[in-house]
Amino acid sequence: MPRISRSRPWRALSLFILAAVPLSLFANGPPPRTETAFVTGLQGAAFRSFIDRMDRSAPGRDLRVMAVPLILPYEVIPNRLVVAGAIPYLDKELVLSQGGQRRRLGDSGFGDLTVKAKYQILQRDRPRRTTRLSLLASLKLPTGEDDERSEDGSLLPPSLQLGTGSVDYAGGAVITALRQRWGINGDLIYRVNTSDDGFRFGDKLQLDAALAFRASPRIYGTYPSPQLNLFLELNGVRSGRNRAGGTDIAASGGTSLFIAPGIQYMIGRTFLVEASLQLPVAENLHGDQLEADHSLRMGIRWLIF
Amino acid sequence: MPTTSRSQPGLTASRIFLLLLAMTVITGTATPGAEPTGPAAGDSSRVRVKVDGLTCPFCAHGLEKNLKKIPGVMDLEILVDEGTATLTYAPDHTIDFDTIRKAVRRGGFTPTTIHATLTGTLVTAGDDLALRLNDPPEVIFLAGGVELNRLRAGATDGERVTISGEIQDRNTEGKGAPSYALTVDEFSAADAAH
Repeated sequence: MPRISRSRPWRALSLFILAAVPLSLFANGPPPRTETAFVTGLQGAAFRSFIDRMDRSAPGRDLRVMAVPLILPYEVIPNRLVVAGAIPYLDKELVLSQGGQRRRLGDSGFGDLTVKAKYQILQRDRPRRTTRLSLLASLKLPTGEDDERSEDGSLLPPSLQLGTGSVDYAGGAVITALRQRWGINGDLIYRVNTSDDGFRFGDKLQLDAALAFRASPRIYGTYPSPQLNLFLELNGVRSGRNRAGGTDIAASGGTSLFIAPGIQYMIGRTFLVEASLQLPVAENLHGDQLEADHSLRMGIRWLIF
Repeated sequence: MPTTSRSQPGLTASRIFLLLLAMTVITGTATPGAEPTGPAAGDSSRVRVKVDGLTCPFCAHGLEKNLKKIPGVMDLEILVDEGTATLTYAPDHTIDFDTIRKAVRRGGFTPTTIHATLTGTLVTAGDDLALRLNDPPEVIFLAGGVELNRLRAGATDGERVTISGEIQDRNTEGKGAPSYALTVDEFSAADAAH
């Protein structure tokens, strides 16, 4: 069967998948969507998972992605180096509506495995305050299916595949500053994507910032105690154009800025639940692409080591 | 599997997540951390270490885990906003203050002052005053502190006392000498407060 041409809907989807799924994999610590520089505690010993529902749409096209990443970190060098493995279970569906006809395309299964390392390079502690800086690096391996076809035999577009088929790299830095009940986290991560079968997703620059506030308890006495945290995050993504057959795809790439209020409840030392709703603030996408509607994330972290 | 018709989108992913959630709630809430065992009979010692950077309960687990690994620690209390960790030792264990500092660092934080409450036998040697911890044999010098002179004035060699003060590094030249000193901020006889 002929390969489906990567025409505009597919190109548009590419940006979204590329942006959303790695974001999920990167986020392995409080706050919900922004990295933290810590390499100890929950960051080094807690299994994390969440369900993330992401919606994007354009006239006649609706995309829904459900992602359930499974993230397991391990503190290799105490208070210095953490490595983590992450693999998402994905459920993607694209609904195309034209002339009263609806066509659904989709796939589900495990996506690409990402191995990530976080190395703390700076720690400044004072009474009831701390500032930390860490470097990040990650490697995404092509473990997910990237050649699935629809029932009519057509190859699904890259953005609906579970994996990209490529080995991709990312590196960046993250800073965390905590002052009593307040905290600020920021990360800057650049992702380099390689090509597979003549197609390459555009590189991506990710910039996140999160303001955190411990709403309860006002005075934290004996550890562990139940704790309620509130977050307000800004998530920015700038993606380069995808390339197919050595040519840039016009309707791909662009810049998006999101705002994401979140809430987190720590039940005790071993378990927390969290939720975050991400909404688009501004999008400047090249050409005709699907625009972000929202992303709702609900998850858990469970201390197992 | 790829699909062209999907009546319940997202169901599989949802089920997987809910299953994970159920598993972790059941096992996670049932996981007992090392719960305090309460003081044992005898002269248990307490050590309170001031911990800088302790602002995030989500990372205090690393501190707790490392401090509980120290031999002899039978109880641990971490006060987050106060920035302290208090360790209660079983009577028959030596207290290694370097080990405590290392454990705090491994846990992700910076140790500063260490305050200890120790029970032992007074040893006098000229102007020097020390506290012998009986089991196992260990001697810690007493130096400084608001109550040192009062203790020295009434000190009787061999008297059993409980002393609270700050641990200070002590430069020692000879082998076998204690490397720490304890300031005398408070003291009491074995059974009666002064």
